[in-house]
Amino acid sequence: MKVNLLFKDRRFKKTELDTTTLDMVQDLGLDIIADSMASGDEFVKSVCLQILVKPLLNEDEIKYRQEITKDAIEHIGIFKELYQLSIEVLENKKKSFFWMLSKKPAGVLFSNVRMMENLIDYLDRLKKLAHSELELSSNGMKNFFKKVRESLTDEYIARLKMYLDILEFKGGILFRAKLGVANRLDGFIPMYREQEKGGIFKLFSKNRGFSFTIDERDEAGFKALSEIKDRALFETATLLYKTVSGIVRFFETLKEEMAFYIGAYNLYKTITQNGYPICFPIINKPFERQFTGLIDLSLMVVSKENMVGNSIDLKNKRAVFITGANQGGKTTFLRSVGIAQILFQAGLFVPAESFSSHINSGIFTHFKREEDTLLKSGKLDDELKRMDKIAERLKKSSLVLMNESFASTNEQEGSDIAEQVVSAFVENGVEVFFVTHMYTLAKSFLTKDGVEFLVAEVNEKGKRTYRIKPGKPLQTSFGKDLFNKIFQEN
Amino acid sequence: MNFESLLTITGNTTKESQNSIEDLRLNQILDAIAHHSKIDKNQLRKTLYERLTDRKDIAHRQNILRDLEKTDVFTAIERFSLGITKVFEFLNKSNKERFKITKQGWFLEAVSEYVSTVERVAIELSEEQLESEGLKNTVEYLKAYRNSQRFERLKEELKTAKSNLDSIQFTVNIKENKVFVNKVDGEKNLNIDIENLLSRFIEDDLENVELKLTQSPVLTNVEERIVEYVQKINPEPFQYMESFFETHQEFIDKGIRQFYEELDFYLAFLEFIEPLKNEGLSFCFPEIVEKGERIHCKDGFDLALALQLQKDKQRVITNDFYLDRGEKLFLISGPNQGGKTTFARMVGQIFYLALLGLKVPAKESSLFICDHIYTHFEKEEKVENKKGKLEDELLRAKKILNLATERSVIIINEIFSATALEDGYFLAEFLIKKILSKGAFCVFVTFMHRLAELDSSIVPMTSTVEPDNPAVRTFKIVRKSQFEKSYAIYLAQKYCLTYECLKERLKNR
Repeated sequence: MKVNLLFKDRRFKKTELDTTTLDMVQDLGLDIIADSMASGDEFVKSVCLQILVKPLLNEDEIKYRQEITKDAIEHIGIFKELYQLSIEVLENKKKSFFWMLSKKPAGVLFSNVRMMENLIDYLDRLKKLAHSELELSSNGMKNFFKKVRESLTDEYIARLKMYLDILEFKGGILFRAKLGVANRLDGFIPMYREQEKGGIFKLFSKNRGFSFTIDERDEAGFKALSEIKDRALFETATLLYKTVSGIVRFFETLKEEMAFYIGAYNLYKTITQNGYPICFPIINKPFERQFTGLIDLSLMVVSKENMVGNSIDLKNKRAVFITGANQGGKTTFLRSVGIAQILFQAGLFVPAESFSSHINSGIFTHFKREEDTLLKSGKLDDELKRMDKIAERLKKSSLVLMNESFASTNEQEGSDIAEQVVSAFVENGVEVFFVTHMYTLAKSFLTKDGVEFLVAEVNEKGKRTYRIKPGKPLQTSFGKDLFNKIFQEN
Repeated sequence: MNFESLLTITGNTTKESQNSIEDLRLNQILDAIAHHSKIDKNQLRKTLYERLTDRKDIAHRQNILRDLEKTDVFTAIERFSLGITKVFEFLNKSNKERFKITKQGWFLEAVSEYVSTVERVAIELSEEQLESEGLKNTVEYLKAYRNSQRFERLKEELKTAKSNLDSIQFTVNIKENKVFVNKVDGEKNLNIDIENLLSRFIEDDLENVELKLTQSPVLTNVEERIVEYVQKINPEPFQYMESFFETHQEFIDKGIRQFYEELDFYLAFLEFIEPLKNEGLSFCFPEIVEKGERIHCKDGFDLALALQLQKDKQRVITNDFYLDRGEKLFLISGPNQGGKTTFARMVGQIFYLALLGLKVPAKESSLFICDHIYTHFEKEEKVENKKGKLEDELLRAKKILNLATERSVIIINEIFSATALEDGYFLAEFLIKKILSKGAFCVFVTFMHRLAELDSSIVPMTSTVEPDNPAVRTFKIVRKSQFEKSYAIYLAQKYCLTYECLKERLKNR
């Protein structure tokens, strides 16, 4: 019995986020997005963030989640009920924690038999939810409920109760054994005698064999006896423990997976209430990327201002250089591309009128760091160190978003290193978006194939439109007009 | 058939002075190797302090070690060694036990381990895999022994004894303080049934419960009584076991035992170098050349320092050297704390370990068989005055000059450093000339770098610093030459982010 609502065939695994991933979270503002998905529920936030940073890598998986996301938007009620049920199970387990103190097999077996008795009630409730008649459309949800119904039949639950009764060991513990190493007792297997007609278990065999009694005061004897019992019950205790853990795991998983879809629903609400469109991405051919009206979601969450959506149409481009006016929306554009790709590969919708993209085998960001705490030489070292960690994980068709990378050294050295890095990337099938003011760098790619140049638009009056348009890099940066603005207006 | 020793052919060995051993920190290395003994640390230590003198013996050991480095050979031999170790453990348990059924039980375990160990090694080890005479002879010995009547009989009777005991089945029922022992009577397996029932909830990757299972290390009274009842239900297997126990008291073959004991030397060494190898350090078989021919070493390192750094999870720096025909002396100078002493120790260690017939701490090396390794290191004990110290140094130097021959290795570390510079030059010059005239190979660490100009057979070497940051030592000792690079590209190269390097990295992703 498995949940499998994030993946068709496996459970989602939480991991410690490494520094490369944390950099991406910071650069793209993914924590702001996760906050918005959480709508106050910290658990939902942590789950969503974990899922966002682990992009899906194939078409089927993305479609599988997209379908369930659509179900969540339509039928959020059942998702919330399943979430609530899981929370109750986990709280009940937490309350029963004191039962788990014993580490000895006999004690562990006893407490887990008790715990199983509790869990049967929750399984019953789950079964009822699975029988509720909703018009779910995703394969994921339909299969999930179908499997629950098949696993938890009335007959099965009755048998479960019968064996829990046998595990009370009313006639003492019975086991088979052999002579093991150096003729010590070994190969313990707990046994039971089948029910006789009257419904009472046979406690003893007819053949009585030999027997002896341990004296009440023989402490060593009782200790030896309980050691033997523990060894005989070892496997059984493990089985029951694993069963309880398995069921608890099931509900933990259910809680996590529901949390993600509840987060998706909350995000959907936020975007649409702000008046922006959403759409479900279409999976495109390799290295093709088209969208219209794409906004930067993390900026939308924090800013109240009206946002300008961007549109591009890229075919067979490996490197995209974005140059032009300072504060002209280059970083915002770069972030919106990264966030949309993240949302797309998380199986979610994106904040755009239309969106199609190919699947990147990994998504990485390398943004300029503002901190002035490092010396100049230390900064370059830090930049290279971060790039090295990214390079370690790059594969064909990975996406690297670079924002003023290698600008911490002089332009000659910076563009020299950047050119070497980008060339090696592009030649090995890595996709690069690079925001840079280094004309020397952009120029060196002007004649190469598969490279697109975008600029932050400035209208005839020299004002920024915050739109990103195709356009070749220009030698002078627009820093001059910023200078003019600041020094001449005052 | 007699077993032929794996350690020596000629039986000749010699020792280095305790002084040399300590100066080179060989005591730390040899003790660390001895620590890996599975049999007798003192015995192994003794073997390690006696080094070989004969080319034949060195080749004998090197070849055996080479064979042992083949995975299949090593696996077979290691399993053999572990097996026999177990045999002795079991016998020891048997001897200590008073309860007869258990005593004989441990004896049976010992024989069983012995038989299967001998059989296994005879199958797993074949002459085709082997190149060394030593192990080829051993294989022949093992095959003959395995086919002997004595071994065949032991094996047969063991089999009977074991299968008799194995066939006994019984049930035990514990209810409160009563224990019932019975023959098996149609009971059903509880675990199988509930596992079938519960499997739908169990996943493979569930964390296993850490169950606490105590077991009294010795047989408890309760177990004793249960086993006694088992014997009553089924007496014959126990009678057979007893007579087996009486008959086969002396079952271990002498040759097998010697094989087991001599392997300790090789296995301890291999186990000793394994973690260092995993850290990327290399060991190699030195090529033994005639004195006067070119000797060299690539990526050599101070093994004692490597051991020390290993504890701090640091990696030792490696160094190269070569000494061409006609060159006799390395004169090492340069910044302090730059790895000069370490380099000098490394040279001595490589010579000594080569003379044990072992691998040496380097990627490649060639050297000659020296008659002795003489060392002269600065002594750190409190010296009353400069005169006393100088006198001591001179006395030690004289002793070395008296003993050394053309075949010697002399390692001198910071001699005459406490005396006036002019005197120091004078004395050092005298000493170097004497050594050169003897024809010995010498490593001479000193801050008096002008000494290099004395003779064309002197090779000047120096410790180095990072070109960009002279405060950082590289711990590399090189023949004097250097090169420099621009900082940004140097940095990019450090992270392998230059075009060529990065392209190579991404190639097969």
